[in-house]
Order: sequence, then C-alpha cells, then structure tokens
Amino acid sequence: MRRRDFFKMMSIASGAALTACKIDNADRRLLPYLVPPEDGIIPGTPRYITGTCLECTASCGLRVKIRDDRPVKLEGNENHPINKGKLCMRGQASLSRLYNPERFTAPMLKQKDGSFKAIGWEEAVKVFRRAMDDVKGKGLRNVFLSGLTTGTLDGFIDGFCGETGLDRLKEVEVMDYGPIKGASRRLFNRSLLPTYGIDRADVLITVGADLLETFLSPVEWHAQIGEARSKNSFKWFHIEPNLSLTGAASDLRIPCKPGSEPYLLAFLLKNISLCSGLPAGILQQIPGVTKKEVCESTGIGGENIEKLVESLEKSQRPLVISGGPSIMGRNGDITAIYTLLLQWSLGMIGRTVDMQHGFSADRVGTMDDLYGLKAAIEKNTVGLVLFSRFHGYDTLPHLFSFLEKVSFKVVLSQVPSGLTRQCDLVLPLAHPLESWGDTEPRRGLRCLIQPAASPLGEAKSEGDILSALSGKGFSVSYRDYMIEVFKSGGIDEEWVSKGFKIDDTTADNGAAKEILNWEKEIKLELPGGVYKGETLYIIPSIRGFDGRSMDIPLLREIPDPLSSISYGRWLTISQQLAQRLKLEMGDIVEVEMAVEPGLEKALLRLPAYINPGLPGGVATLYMDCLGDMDLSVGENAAFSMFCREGAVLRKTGERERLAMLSASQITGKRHILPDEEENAVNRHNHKKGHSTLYPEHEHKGYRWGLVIDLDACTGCSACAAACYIENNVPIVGLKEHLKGREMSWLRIEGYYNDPLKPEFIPVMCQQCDNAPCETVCPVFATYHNPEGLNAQVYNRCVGTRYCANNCPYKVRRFNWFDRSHSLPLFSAFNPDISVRPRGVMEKCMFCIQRIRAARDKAGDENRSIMDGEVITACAQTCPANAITFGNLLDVNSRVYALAMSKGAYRVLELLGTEPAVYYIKRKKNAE
Amino acid sequence: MEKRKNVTGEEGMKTQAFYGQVELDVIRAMKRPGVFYWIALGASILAFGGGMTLWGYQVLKGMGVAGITHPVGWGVYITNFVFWVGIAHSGTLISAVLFLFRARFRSAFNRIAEAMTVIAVMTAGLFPLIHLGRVWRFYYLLPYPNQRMLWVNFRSPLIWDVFAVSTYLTVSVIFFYVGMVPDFAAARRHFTGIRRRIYSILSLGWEGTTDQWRHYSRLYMFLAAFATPLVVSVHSVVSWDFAMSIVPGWHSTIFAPYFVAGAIFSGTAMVITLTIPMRKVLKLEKYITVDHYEKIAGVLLVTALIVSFSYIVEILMAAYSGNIFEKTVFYYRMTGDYKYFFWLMMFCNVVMPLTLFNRKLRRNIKYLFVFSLFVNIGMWLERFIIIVTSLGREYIPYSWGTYTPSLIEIGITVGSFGMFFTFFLIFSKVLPMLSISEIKEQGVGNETI
Repeated sequence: MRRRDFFKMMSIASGAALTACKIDNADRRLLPYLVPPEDGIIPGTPRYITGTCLECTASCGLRVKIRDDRPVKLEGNENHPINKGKLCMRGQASLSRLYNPERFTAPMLKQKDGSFKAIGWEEAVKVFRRAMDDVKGKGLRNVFLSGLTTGTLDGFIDGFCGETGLDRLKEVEVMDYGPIKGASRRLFNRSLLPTYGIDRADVLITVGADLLETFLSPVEWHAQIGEARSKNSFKWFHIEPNLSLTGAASDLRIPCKPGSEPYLLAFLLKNISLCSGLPAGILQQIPGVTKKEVCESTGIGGENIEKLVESLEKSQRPLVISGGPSIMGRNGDITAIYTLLLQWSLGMIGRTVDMQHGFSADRVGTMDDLYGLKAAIEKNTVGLVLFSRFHGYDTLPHLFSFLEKVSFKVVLSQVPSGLTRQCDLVLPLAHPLESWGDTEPRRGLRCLIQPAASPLGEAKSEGDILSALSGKGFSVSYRDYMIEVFKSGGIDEEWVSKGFKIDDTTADNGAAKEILNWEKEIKLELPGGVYKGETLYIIPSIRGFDGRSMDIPLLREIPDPLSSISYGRWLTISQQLAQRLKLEMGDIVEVEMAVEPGLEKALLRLPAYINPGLPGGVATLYMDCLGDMDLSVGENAAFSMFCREGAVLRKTGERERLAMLSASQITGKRHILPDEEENAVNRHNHKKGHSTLYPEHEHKGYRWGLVIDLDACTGCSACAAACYIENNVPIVGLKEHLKGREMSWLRIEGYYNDPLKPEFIPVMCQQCDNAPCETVCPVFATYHNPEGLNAQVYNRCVGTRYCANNCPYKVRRFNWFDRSHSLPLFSAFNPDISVRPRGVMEKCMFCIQRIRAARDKAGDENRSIMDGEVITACAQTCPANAITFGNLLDVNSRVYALAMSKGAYRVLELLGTEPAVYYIKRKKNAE
Repeated sequence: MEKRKNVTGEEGMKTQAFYGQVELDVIRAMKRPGVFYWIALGASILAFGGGMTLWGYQVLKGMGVAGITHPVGWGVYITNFVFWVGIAHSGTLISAVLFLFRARFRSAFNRIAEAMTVIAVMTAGLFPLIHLGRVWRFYYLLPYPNQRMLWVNFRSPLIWDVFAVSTYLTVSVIFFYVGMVPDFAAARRHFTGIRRRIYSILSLGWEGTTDQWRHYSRLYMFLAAFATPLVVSVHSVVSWDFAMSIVPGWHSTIFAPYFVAGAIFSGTAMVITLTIPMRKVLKLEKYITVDHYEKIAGVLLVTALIVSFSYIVEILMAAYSGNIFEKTVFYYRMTGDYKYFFWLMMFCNVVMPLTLFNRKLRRNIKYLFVFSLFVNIGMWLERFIIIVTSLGREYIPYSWGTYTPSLIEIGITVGSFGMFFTFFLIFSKVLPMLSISEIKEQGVGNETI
C-alpha cells in the first residue's frame, strides 16, 4: 500500500468512526449561565424565597434555598409568627417529595388489566366528566373527600363542588382533636380549637398533650416554651400516661395511670379557690374526690398533687392544656371538658388560651362522619369520589377499606400510593414548591405558598386541576383566582417577600365573649374508673405524624429519639411488663385488643422495644408503625380506636432484630452527662488541664465553637435532619442500619439514667483541639485547620479507618459503599459540598461551606466575620434554640459567654481532647 | 568459631560420609515432588486465587462487603496482619538471636524459620492494603516527593508500620539469602540444566575458600546482630498501632513487650506446625530430632508464661484502675458477645502451655503438633479479641457495637493461608530446606548440641 492510499483509507475510516459516534444525553449536560437569566440570579449563589410548609397542618413559614433554579433546602422563615425561623425534621425532609423519582408526570388512567396508562389532560378531564355524568344518570352522589383545607382553596373548592355537583364531605384527619373541639361545643356551643400562648404563661400544666412532637403546632410550642423559660419563674408540669419527649423536656414529669386524668382534674377544679367562680350548677355536678382517692386512682404521689394545686393557686397566668393520649379513650372527652372548665375558671381564656385565633379545623369531621360515608357507600348511593390530600387510606388502610367499593375513584396525588392503586383516574399533583396557594392555619394569619420551581412534567396545582375539571381548562390559573380574592393588593410584594400576612378581619371575635353555655344535660360526673388491664395507646409520632410522612426516606433514616430505632415497626413496652412476660428487646409480642362483640379479635404482632421510662401497664405503638394492621373497630368504637384498654400481650417466642442505633441507653458515670460528683472536678475548668507532646495550635482570628444547652434540647431531631440535608449525608437503609453503619454526622443520644426523665444529648464532631483522630491519620487527610476545625480532606483519605477507631466520640462515618445518586435525586444535593466517594471517611465540620461563604463575604468587605453572621445548619433550625455557634476567640460573642457560663462542660473532658463543643446543663435532672 | 574436630583417619572417613549424606538428603528433598505435594500445592493456589478474587470483588463493590462496621472499623484484616507479622517473628529469633547466643539447635530450624519469615511478612504486608478503603491510593502512604505536595504524617503509627514492616522484610530477605549462598553452591553440583545455572548465579561464585568463609562468617554475624533489634522493634511498632491510640483496652504501656512475646510464641508454634509434617514427608527426621523439638518447646513455654503474665497484668490494671472505660472493656471481653473466644484463647495460651513443664510432653512430637495448632488458634484469637472487643466498647455507650466477619473476610483469610502455603511449598522444592553448611559444621552425631 502506498503512503497516499494509506492516508485515504485512514481518513475514510476515521470519518466513518466519527459519524458512528453519538453523544449520549447531550441535552442533559449542565451548562453554567454565561448570561444571567434574570436580575439578581448569580450563578453559584443561592437565592431565597418564602413559602409555607404543608407537611402537617401547622403551616410553618419556609425560607426556600434555591440554587440554579433548584430548591435545595427548606429552612424556617425567621419572621414568621409560627415557627420564627425554625423547622422540624419533617418540614425539612419534605423537600425530598419534590425530587421523588416516582412522581406522576401525567394523568394516569387505570386500564382493564389493572395497569395504569399515561393520558393527556384533555382526555383526563373528559374521562372525569363522563364518569360524573354516568353517576348523575344513575341518580347517585358524587363526593369530594380531602384532608384539612384552609385559605383561599377552601372557598375555591366550595365553588368547584357547587359548579360540578360534587358533595363536599367533612374533611378527614386522623388526628382530629375531637374531644377538645367537643368540649368547646358543649360548653360554648362553638367547635373551637384554640391556640395557646405558652410564652405568656408562668405555670404550664400539660395533660398528655405532646406539645413538642405532634400536638397542633410543635415548632411554635418549642419557641414559646423557650421564651417562657427565659423568665425564671416559669414552671412546667407534664402529666402523662405514656412517655413523650414533651414529658422529658418538662420541669416535672408526672406519670399517671391511663385514663385517670379526670380524677386529678376534678380534684384541681374542686380545690383551687378560683374555681369557685364556676356556675353553681357546674360545681355541684363535679364530683368531689379526696386526695387519697386521687392518689390511688392516678398513681400520682400526694406531694406532686400538692405542688400542682399550689402552683395554680399562686400563678398569675396559668395555662392548662390537655391532649395526646390523655384525650384518647373513653375518658378523653371528660378530660377535655374538665380542662376547658379549668381554663375558663382560672381566667386563661383570652390570656393564655386564644379562642379568637383558633386553629382552622371547622371542616374536619369526626369518626361519625366517616361512618356516615361508609354506610352510604355500602348502601351504594355514592358513585364517584374525588380524593385530594387524603392520607387516611395510606395510614389506616383497614379503617378506610370501605372506599374500595366505590365504583369510580379519582385522586390528586404526587406519587403512587396504596390509594392511587385503588383509583381509576390519577391526576398528577404538583408539589407545593411548584404551586401558588395560601393557607390559613389559624384565624387571622395568611401564609403564602409560592412556586420555587416549575412543575414536573404535566403536574398541576390542586387549584388548577379542579379548575380544569370544572371545564375551564388551564386558561385561568389558580394564581389569578387568588389575585381576584385578595382584591386589595392581590398577592402584593409584601406578602411575597414576608411569606405571611396578618389579617385580623377573620379573627373570631365572638369566641372569647361567649359566655359559658351551661346545659344541665351535660354529664360531668367522673367516668367509671381508670382503664382496665394493659392499655395500648396508638399515638402519632414525631417522625411520621399519623403515618403520612413515613414515605420520606430521611424520616426513616433518622431514628425515633425516644427509642433510637430507625427502620421497622415496634411496640414500646414498659420494663415492668417486660419482666412479667420475660421479654427481651426484639421479642415478638402478640397483642390481642379488646373489641366489640361480634367483631373478630384484633391481633397485632410486633417486636418489643423495652423503654425504661414508660409507666407499667401501658404499651405504645406509633401510628406510623401500623402499616396495614387491622385495628378492628366497629362503628361505635370511635372513642377507643387509638386507646385500647384491656389489651392482652403475649410472648410468641419469635424474635426480630430491631434497628436500634443506641447500644445502651444508660451512661453510667462516663462523663457524658454531668452528675453531681463531676461538677466539682470537671466543670468550669476549661483551661488546658493536660500537657501535650505537640505544640499548641495557633488559631488565627477564629476558633469555631458550639454550645448546646441540654436544658433546652428536647431531642426533637430537627438538627439531625438539617445536617443530613445541608451536608448531603447519605441515606443507607435498614440493612446497613442493622450493621451499625448509619451515616449521621449528628445524632441524638437518649439516656435513661433517670427512668422518669430521659435526657437527650446531640453529638456531632467535637472539633477537638488535641484531636485523637488527627495524629493517627497516616496521610494528613484529617488535620487541624487554622480556625480550629478538624478538617477532613476527602480526596486525600485512603480509608484506614484508624481515625474513626481513635475517635472517643465516635462521630466519624465511613463510606462503605458508593452512595452517589442519579437524577432526579441528585438535584436535591447541596452543591456547596461534595458527595463523598466510597472508601472515604467523612464527618461534621461545622458546615464549613457556610463558614467559607461568610469569610468570602467578610473578605470582600475587608472585615472579619461578625458574631451570628455564620450559623451551622443544626443551630439554624433548632426549634428550642438550644444550639449556639460562633467564634470562641471573640470574648464578646454569645458562644464565648455561654461556653464560660455556669453549668458548661464538655463531654469526656477527662481525656484531654479539648473539644470545641460545650454543653450546658444547669438543672438537676429530677427536681 | 568453635574448635573444629579432628577429621582424620577412620573418624575422618565417617565424617566425609556424613557430609555426603547431608548433602544428598537435603538435595533429595528438593527433587521429584510426590502426588501429595502437588495436591497440597494445588489446594494452596486455589485458596490463594480465591482470596485474591474476593479482594477484587471488595475493591469493586466497596469495603461494605466486609463485616467491619461502625464502631468496629478494624476486624479480621488487621487481626490477620498482626497474626502474620507475629508468625514472621520466629524466623529472626531462631536465626539471628539464637545464632548470637550460640544455641546450636537452631541449625535444624533456621532455614525453614527464615523462609517462613519472608513469606509471612509478605502475607502480612498484603493486609494493610486489603483493609484500605481506597487501595488504589495506597501510594499516598509512601513518603516520596510528589506533585501532590503532600508528605505523610510521621506521627501516625501506621506510617511507622510501613517502615517497620518494609525494613523487616528487606533485612529478612538479605539474611535469608546470605545464609543460603554456600548451600546454593552445594546445590549447583547436584543439578543440571536451567536449575544448575540459576543456582550458579545465586551462589555468587562461591568456592568455599578460607577467605570466602571468613567474609561469610563476618557478614552473617553482622547481619544477625543487625536483625536482632528488629525482633523487638517490628512487633513493638505493630503493637503501637494499638497502644498509641486512645481506645480503652489498647492504650497500654505493656503492649510492646506483650506483643513481642506473643509474636515469638506464635511464630515458634508455627515453626513446629510446619516442620513436623515436613520432616516426615521429606525424610529429614535425622536432622530435625526430638531433642531439637524439646528445646524449641522450651522457647514456647517461656514466651507463653510472658504472655500469660501480660494477660493477668492487663486485667488487674483494669480492675484496680477505677477507670470505668477500661473495666467495661475487660468485663465485656470476659462475659460479652465474644466470651467463648476469650476463654478459648485463655485455654490455648495460658492453660495448655503449662503442660510443657512435663518433659515427656515436650518430647512427644504428636502432642507438640496438636499443641502448636492450638497456639496458632489461640494467638489469632488474642489479636481478634484485642481489636474487636476494645473497639466495640469504647467511650460512648450509644455507639457500642459488635462485629461479625463476613464471608468475604473469611475467604480472604483462607486466601492468605493459601498464599503462605503456596510460597512455602514452592520454597521447599526450589531452595535447600536445611542449612547444609551448618549441619556439616556441627558434624556427625552432634546434631543436638
């Protein structure tokens, strides 16, 4: 072959090879903005908009962090009257719903073989309208069933139902606070769910109300309790039949026998002098009980009862709230009524109990409404059901199984669920971060929902979908409707930037003026004794609420703070019961629940978790652990669905390993939590107590430190969620959790040294001055940076794991596998911090990316970082304001003042590691 | 050097015959492998290859396929590392230390022990690599000027390990090789073809002249003196991987002597385990005799007593220290999840060695073989218990944990034995198993001196 021929051949061959090449996914590549698309958007710089969290009904204000048009983190809106810049773990985790890979992108129609086929909106509307007409032709009802709806959407749905001829049913919420509303209805003739002003109270008595977990507006209560506690006179008593974070956080937790609450409240009503202001008719009706009887029936010691009476007598602004398990069960109604009588007679209403700005719950129905629907469906008078924001079927499938009989079911949903599989037509619902809307969680407060991203695929907001279903198409958007409703100003600049507006015109001014509407026929006598036998409480959980949040992976990854169990289901039993039944952790227990005659016995089979703090005679089960278990309730059993007295527990002999992350819930004298003896030795001695071989570190300008107030910390785990999201910490799942390979950089350790009151301590990297991890790393992958951080250089790490072995705090996490994600989950990552490859150690670095950003900003302005200018994700979101971050070298900083204050100590101070994380514990555990 | 025997007359004839016999016996052992040998070699290679394949799988999938977890970040891999380094110890001890002490019974074992050392260090050296999360970045651990502008952290005991183990390997190989030079010259005479050529090159032109012998003796003595401190240093450094940490149960000043004694104990036991079947198969009974075994059993007994003493000291220290963390670890060792391992270890390393006070048992070859197996098991368990129970019960009760080796780890461990035996079997056929020159030097009938 000649040279020229060779070149010719080569050119043809390479040309052919090139044409055969194809760039895959060319349209998926990320290109930086060369020309910023809008004013104010700087590539690589986050921008923030306001929003409203819809994960529960509290409607906390959001500050949505958007990077390159993608929401990457939800934070609390600092000015918002409800959450004041804080956000619970559920609220933060709800971002992942936006990036759920299973989301519907088009309307889905069920085919004859049961599969779903994507169709266009036009066809979907046609199918819907045809089904409506069919039903009407048969003379049946079409109904609309949803969860709690507030704000403009409420009126809009009324309009929609009117136009299309749907019956709007009572809303379904598993936690309906029925007894509280019922008490108000009986005494005031108004079904009110008041808000509370804990910050205004000087004595708080909570009866069962799990303020810090799920009760109405937990983040708000956290803030209010913090506020109240800043006044030294505040005293908080918590009476409960179970064990909750709320009880652990209170000043005095008083366990009582299940169902015995009315005895105590009746005693208070009779023995507090101010209560004599009650109408005589009522006073006569309230049965007199002696202190001895109260002690016997409630199991509360006499001295505690005296304390309660005395505090209420002395108090200027008392507050009594009942809720949670105490208003469950057959004695729940009377507990709520007695509580309201106390509130009224002690002058709480209008001062610490706010009826005017009560929670919007007017449309929420009770179990009776549900049974009405059930009867209607069984009588075959319902033809079509349109579901929206309806969680009941997924949280309690057995209770709502009657819905399966409806002939045509339409659902608005973001992701496939048990309900969507039952439905005939699924309409893709946009995430709240993709929609316009508003909520009115309580009278007088309007919270704005505004889009932070464009909807995924063909998904639409609820308003838009309903508008299309009513035949208007998508020409008029829901936003336009809102503008029309709020004629004056519409959705004005101020509302958009603040995220909420106070609109007192909707306040229920009549409510407080209502005089007690006393009717003779209301029965006020004591119930027939406390609950018999073992009582099983089925309660909402801080992670999954009534179960609706458990489809968020992060909320399963972060363990339940009381038990430290992450994945799986379990039954919490008391030590007393465990001893009696000879149970160990993980033994499977069979629970036989009492049912009405004629019904099949309800059986639950669950592994047992033995909680040292739970009173005897009680077992608790989280609603999110129910799954598809059958609670077997008849129509008259509404009162006892979640409170099953006379439950019989049996050992089965089988075992299941619990994904319990805590190996031991007792510390002993390990210098983790301070005890009295340690006070003298270790506290207030933050000078270098140990000499070291190595020269001391010179910190240039900054030594970052963290102070955690354990008196304020409630164990709510919001910090853990913030850490996961801010730092792209991988979620690893049950299998890895069972091996102990969870990746959390920040964990809440719960210790039951005093079984009456567990203590919680958040543990993250302590950024030691004499860090044991630093000296053993052979490759300098971890080193002490000039600002006092134990920096971990991921791409330098070879993975000897020596540092983790040598870390006394056990806060280093190793990447056992590759945990990088593909789209769309990848979009949820924080772009400011890398995703660590497998084989590399990782750990908390005080959100170094935030420090870096603040330093850059300060550098541009030629100054140093100011106190409070940079804050870690955990400190930012802590609802109890327990975490303070700052520069320990700045003697004027808040963190310095706290670190040097009375009661400050460091964990394992005796090792001489000189951590930069200080803990404060001033209160003795049990008073 | 000791006084030479008069080798003239009838006595001289006898000696000449003995010299010839030694050479023939040792060289014969290097020829014609039997079926048993091939089976053993095949099985070893299979295990070795299997282990390497599993390692490849681990590299591909991530460290998660091993059972190690949080907080027990080190498990079977580091146990194996310490175990094999320990095995490697007796080589230098028997060769160098006993040479300097003129303990002439060493001649029966020294070559095998040295070969064992070299192979065991190679095996041990693999484990720090296997346990790395990112083994493809292992060169980060080597101090050399690089474009990363990074240097290693000399404060880390792991870097000391890199130096200690590589120094030990280098010195052991040189010592091993130098000792073999006269034997290569002898082997050269008995082979033809390629093997002859290789042995010629390896013998470095050895002629057996007086000058060569003088240089050789000096060099050998010098190397022995040079290697002796390594016996102490290598395992001390390995023990510092643990002792320099803050982990309760590891952080102890007793660790260096304790580990050195343990290493000699286990290494000597391994020599017994290897030589007893080997002398039978290769028909070397008359060179490795019961008297030799009795002596080496003495070494076992002494080191076992040191090890036992260390155990007692550790436990007593924890008991009277009042340190809750130390107490927890030792209480856990004795009563926790690994208690059966602990008590088995106690039986193997403390109770069983006491039987060696009985001279009859010291001279019972079968008993010694079984005994040495138990010591191997006991010493492996010792390292396992030290590593796992200490990490599993550290300072924070929330983060206590347990560890169960995964099949991958067990497979790689079996693979490491496969590697050891593969190399050892190859050694037994290509290199002289006994030091011909030394046995000759000791002369006929003086094997036991």
